[in-house]
Amino acid sequence: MLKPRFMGNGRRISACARRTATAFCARPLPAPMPRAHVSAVGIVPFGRLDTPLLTLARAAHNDLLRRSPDASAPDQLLLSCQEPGPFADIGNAAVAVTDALGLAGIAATRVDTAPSSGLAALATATALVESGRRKSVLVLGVETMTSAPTEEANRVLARMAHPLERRYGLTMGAQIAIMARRYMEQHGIDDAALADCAVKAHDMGAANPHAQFRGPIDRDTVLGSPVVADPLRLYHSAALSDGAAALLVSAAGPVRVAGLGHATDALALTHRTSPDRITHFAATRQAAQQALGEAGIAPSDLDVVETHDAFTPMEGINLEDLGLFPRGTGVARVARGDTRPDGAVPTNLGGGLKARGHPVGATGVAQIVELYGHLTHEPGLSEHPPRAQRPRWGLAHNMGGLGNNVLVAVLEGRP
Amino acid sequence: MSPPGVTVARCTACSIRLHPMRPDCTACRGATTSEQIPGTGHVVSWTRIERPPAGFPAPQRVVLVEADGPDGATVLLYAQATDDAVLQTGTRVQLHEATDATVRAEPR
Repeated sequence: MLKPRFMGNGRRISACARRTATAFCARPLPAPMPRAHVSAVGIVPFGRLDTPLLTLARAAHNDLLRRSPDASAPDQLLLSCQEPGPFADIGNAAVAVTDALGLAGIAATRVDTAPSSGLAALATATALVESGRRKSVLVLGVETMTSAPTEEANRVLARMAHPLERRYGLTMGAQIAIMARRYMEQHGIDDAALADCAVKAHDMGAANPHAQFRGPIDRDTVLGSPVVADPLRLYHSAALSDGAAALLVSAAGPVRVAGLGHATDALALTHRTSPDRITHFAATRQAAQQALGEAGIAPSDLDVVETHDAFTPMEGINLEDLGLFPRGTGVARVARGDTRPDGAVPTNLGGGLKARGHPVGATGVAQIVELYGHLTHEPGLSEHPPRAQRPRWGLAHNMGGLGNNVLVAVLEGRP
Repeated sequence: MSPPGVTVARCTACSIRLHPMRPDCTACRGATTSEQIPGTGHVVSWTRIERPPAGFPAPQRVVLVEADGPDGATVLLYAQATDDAVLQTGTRVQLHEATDATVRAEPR
């Protein structure tokens, strides 16, 4: 009678329960499921690189091989790339990248959930490894966005929105501007506080060897920059960027994939039904609850966080949805430094999307690389350690579209 | 200009109203029917887009409106404002629907 309880995913079976089951069941239990770990990482500096997509992919893979010469050979490649056609004139992109890496022969699949593709690829790699279907999966995130003029790039990216939203000329940034204005009016946030969120992001990027923006800025720089979509200015927006990052996911490694969450919401903002849909993202809350629940930890256990701040108001708003700050306080807490390395919730210590740069397909993978740096102390990955001496738990939050395809991953370093 | 009013989706099961029109309800998955609402409401947020995507003149003035429903319920929708006077939270607006299903907002 015990057996059906142990037919699930096996994740939560304690050693004691397993012994009990073995003692009482007529048939032996199947071997425990492999657990997915991040076993190696690689990254290139992000920016306006004037470098072909396949060259960047190779460079990130080479960085992984240089850091981890003994890394196992992958038996599948998962490509995270949102727009290989419009931005790089590449079709059949999974095999184009696999071939460029000298890996032709292995399985290759492109994963696309818009800018959350990086964590979607990690989630897919985790499922492949934990099912036993694959031994070792290479997750390669890459995007080249800067060859097109900005207006054209914005037109390509605006295709993520509902067709009627696009007919108003709404970009992702313009929709975040509308959400941010409502939030600011409800919670008494002024332009100076919002500017301080951008200052914090650039301070973090200044010490990240892979960040697009490595020069600190001050409040006046932000407030003096051109308006993109009122109240958001140029310095509130992550720049168009080129970049690549890589992960190897296998059954052993220094960082465990301890929890994953994935949730969607209606494509159009006005079709959503959560009471706070004008200011917050219900899909983030759902994904976070799943991921933290699977890891068996509370938000307060987290030592370091990576959140999807494509626009600066999102750092504080997302941290509220992730359960790390009370409602209505997040943006003010970011502005006053509570997400800096010595703050209550060390977040985006590599500059986040805002200062590291946001090559959409590479972003989620870069978030995992950043957390891997904090959890393993591997040199050359992160220069702003969180206040915890030996950080154990990290969380990455990666958003596709306007908060409508959201993934959260909880990572555990070796204690 | 078209007479005031906007076509919205009304759920036949839970009565929620959604814009733009869609065949099913995002709250309960019930079927919807189209319904005309009066075309009055107020601005709950707004932006003035100075750098729109390729193909749009700058600036684009977009307001998020809570439109008044016939029975006191509201409908959330985006609308284009032709004039900066509408870009103020709380402004009462009159809504008109264009042939491409976009909505225009002007001060009442």
